[in-house]
Amino acid sequence: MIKINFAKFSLVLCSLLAVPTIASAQMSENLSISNAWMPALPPVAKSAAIYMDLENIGEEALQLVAVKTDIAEKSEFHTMKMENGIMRMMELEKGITLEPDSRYHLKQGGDHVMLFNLTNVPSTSDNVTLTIVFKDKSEKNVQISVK
Amino acid sequence: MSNSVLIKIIISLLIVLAAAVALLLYLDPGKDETQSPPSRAVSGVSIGGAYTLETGDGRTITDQSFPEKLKIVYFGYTFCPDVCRVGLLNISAALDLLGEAADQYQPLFVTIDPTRDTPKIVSEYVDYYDDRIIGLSGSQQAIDQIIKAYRIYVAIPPNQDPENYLVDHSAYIYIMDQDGTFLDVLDHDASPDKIAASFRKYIK
Repeated sequence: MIKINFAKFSLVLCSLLAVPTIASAQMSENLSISNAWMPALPPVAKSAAIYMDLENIGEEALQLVAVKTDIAEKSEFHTMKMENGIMRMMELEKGITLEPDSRYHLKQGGDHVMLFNLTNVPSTSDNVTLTIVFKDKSEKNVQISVK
Repeated sequence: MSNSVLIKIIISLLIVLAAAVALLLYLDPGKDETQSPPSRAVSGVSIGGAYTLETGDGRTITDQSFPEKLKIVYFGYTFCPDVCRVGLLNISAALDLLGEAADQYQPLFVTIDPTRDTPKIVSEYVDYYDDRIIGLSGSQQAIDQIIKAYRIYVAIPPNQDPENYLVDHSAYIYIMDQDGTFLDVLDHDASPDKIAASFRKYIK
């Protein structure tokens, strides 16, 4: 009878399980964010927009599906369209998808993170953190400058 | 007198009568405009008209207010995350570029969302950006009146959270003369330089 060294067996089993996790990095690790900012607002403001530059530095498409923050009850990715002088704003229900090696800008007059019902209107001295949630459930925190 | 001569006389008189009536109609001054200020037609569409709105400190402002000043009228709402803020900042910066001549203008910000934006809220909102701008609100009926007069498009897309809804709306800046006549219209995101150049055109 062959004696099975359980210790070695478990070790091999564990490393076999670990391989898939190491091989595919989480989406959150492949998103590079820069210039994340939001404007300082009047104390009566109930909504806000956050802007930032995104870059996919990985080899797979990134899907940003949700956002959350402490300073607002609800956060969503939104887009804006100007048609015949009419400004329309709506949710990007599928979030934002970034192909490998591509950049995307959330900016004034364009796509942005929309915060609803601010619980705290930030001033320039405040630290604001936004959490981006990816399709693979990974998350990434980003510090927002209030300008 | 023969019949043919009589007929000719009658016809001539009728022609003279018709001409006289035509002349009178042409010379008739028509009804006086007493209710609302004249609104100039632009491409067949007239912009401007009567309105009665409230400020945060309880004043009533109408189209007849500030008769010695040109008016800047901008529409938006305080729940608006981007456009309305940008327009107010641009107006404020443009006024700064005018220097002393800015005194000839009275900037107004009118909410298109009176359900959430009370006069007090609108006033506090615009004060943050520039204390020269007067924030205005009123009853839904009063707001509907000015929206119609300025031909603003306003629509609340369906299926939204009743507290956190967004509103689609026109994003133009209007320049009105002292008597409320329409002068010019600008995009809300025109640069302050461009807006100031337009403002300068109408300074007396």
